[in-house]
Amino acid sequence: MRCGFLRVETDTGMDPDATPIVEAQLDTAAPDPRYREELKAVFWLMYQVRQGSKLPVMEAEAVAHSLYVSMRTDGPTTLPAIPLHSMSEYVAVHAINVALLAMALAEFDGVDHAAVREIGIAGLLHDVGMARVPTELLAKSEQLSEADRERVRQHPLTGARIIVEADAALELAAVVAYEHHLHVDGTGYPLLRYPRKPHYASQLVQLCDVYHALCSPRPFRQPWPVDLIFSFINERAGIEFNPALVTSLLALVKKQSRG
Amino acid sequence: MEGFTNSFGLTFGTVATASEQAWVNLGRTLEVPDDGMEPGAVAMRMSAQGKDAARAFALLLESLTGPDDVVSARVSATIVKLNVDHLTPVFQALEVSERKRAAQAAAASLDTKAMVVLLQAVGRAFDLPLSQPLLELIEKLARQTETPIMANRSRADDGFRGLADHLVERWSESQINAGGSDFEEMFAHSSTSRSSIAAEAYRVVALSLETGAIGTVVWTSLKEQSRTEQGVRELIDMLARAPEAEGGVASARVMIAEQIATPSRLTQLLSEDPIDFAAVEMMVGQLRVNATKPLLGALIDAPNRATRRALMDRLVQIGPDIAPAVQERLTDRRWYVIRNMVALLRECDCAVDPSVLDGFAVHDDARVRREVLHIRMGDTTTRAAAIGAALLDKDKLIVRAGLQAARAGFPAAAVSVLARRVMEEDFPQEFRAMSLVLLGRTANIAALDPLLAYAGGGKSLLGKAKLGAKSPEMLAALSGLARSFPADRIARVLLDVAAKSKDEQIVNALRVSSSGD
Repeated sequence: MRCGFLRVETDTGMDPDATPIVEAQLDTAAPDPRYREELKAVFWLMYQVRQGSKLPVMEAEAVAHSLYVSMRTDGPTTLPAIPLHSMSEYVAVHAINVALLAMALAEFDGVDHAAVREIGIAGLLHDVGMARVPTELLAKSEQLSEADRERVRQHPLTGARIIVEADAALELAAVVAYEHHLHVDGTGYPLLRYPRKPHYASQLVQLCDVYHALCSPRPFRQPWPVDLIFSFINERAGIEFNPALVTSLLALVKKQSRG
Repeated sequence: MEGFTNSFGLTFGTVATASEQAWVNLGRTLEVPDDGMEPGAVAMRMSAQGKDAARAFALLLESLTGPDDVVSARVSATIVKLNVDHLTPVFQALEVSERKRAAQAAAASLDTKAMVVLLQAVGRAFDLPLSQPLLELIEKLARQTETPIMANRSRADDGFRGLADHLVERWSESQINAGGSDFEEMFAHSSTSRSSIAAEAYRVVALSLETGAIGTVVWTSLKEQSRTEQGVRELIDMLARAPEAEGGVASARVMIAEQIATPSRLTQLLSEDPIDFAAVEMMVGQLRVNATKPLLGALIDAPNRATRRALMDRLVQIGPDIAPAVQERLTDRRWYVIRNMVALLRECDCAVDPSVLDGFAVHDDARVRREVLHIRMGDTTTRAAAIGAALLDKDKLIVRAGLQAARAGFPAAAVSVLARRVMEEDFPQEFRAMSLVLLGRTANIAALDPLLAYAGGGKSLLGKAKLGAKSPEMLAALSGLARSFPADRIARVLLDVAAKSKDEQIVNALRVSSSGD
């Protein structure tokens, strides 16, 4: 399946790509005014990175900060918070939604406030490496060729470099950008020269990344219903995903939907 | 001192607060009369003043005690009146540290409208003007502080001020990073504060060595990881496994290794048993000549031949630059230390003043002498004397080395030495034939007597010259005479006898000579 922008091979059953390719139904709701500035800032930020500029750190931190503030002042966050109106918005919308979901899940999991913010930045920037992947590749509605897939699979490495080279204290964001396609069982990518378990924040963002990707319409498929997403995620708990985080996410989403 | 009340109702005197006093001081610096101290007037004067006014203004901001400070509202109004264009030069006139202190103090006390203006000015003063999206985010957070719900307003206010404070912090850091373009400096300036969820230092360094990414976070983590012996060991292991030729990764490896490789860490590494030579290799590659002393120390204490050889190989890799450190070790009295040092000087092709080795050429231990003679035989200025000394030595291995050296070029001074030695009874039997071959290849007259002595066998009963009993020595001597002394009268007699011999080997000895070997 393609999570976020990536096609991830799995051998554990369901394959969302097996579903017929249909015209994805985008959300027709009015743009959420709560996050207008954040969306604009993320668009701008990704544009800067795509042009080869250094990562605008202050803008990234300000977006994450603002999301954190709004998450706390606007009451419980609905997950995902921002509807997708156009596939061209996907990068920014996905970044913001993953940041929001990751912060909510971290807080739900008992992480302290300062660390929740760090996770917010990490969630926001986890796919920043995609900014350097050619846009035409991302917009493809057909299956990617092996070469294209390989180019896309470089995005964790590219993302980590972009963040590290920004020369700001964003080590967690760099680690998450690098590790968010690693699985808890040691599989996934990139291949590590120094094998290690993904960081807790990487595991958390990875889960939110997949969750939001499945919730979202893609050029090649419809969004998945929540129960199917959880069935998919549960099946991979302990293999791809941290089982405790899966349990927390399920509880969080249930709590949110009740609220 | 009696108090007085100014135009906007502040009472000054013995009970004035620090911020009230700072406001008055600002007024005096700007030469605004106390009764004219209203924001518009202050703003107008501020924009035309220089450093003193900027400092007085900074002190005023630092003196504010919070949003409830009675002066805060005045200062906020002044800032809004000043606007971004006029406030920027005020902050530009301040040192970086003053700018940071003043802006952070302001963030804790001024109203949000003033802070939006102030942040724009401070950003410009740091040469990092706010981007449009950032300004819009700041303005959004400022708007949120106006929400009618008290609880939310307080959170939004905290959020806004937190962001302002953070931006000022980042701007200040950027000045440090900009000044510290070399990695040493970045390493020194890297902060070490860690959050509860911070990525482990090891993980960040691993990421750097896997991706080739280098930046402040890597230096911070490197510093953190280097705090413990265990951490350093892990770093060294990682570096030893990092590829040396893989573009960006290789350069990250070099930059990190530069920070980690020190002579004392190498010493530590060399004290492990067994020694991890992959890690040592990495360190030596980085330290180059600075690795010499730790390696020499380890070489002296090495418990076995394999380890010694491995250490010597690393020293040899460094090259002739190791000579001064090696020569220092020649003062050691232990024979094996001297032997190894001399061997290193030889293997590294070090240029050594011959007089340094004089004493060791006659050392009691043959193993030392052997190494010294090896060096001297390789040096054209000492070669002849060294071959002569080797041929005279009582140690068979040294004699053999001398003979081998002579095969490549037999100095005249050494011919007479060998000619004498080969006739001595205690000269090792196994070297006699080889010695006679060598003597037979030189036309030096000193060689003639031993050749005749070994080729001849005295006279027959009839008084005719006869050949000696056939032996490798006799054949070598005969061959030498045929080759180098065919015109000598005595030699000619023996050669004629040999020519008439029915013994194929004897006849062959003459032929071999004439064919040039």
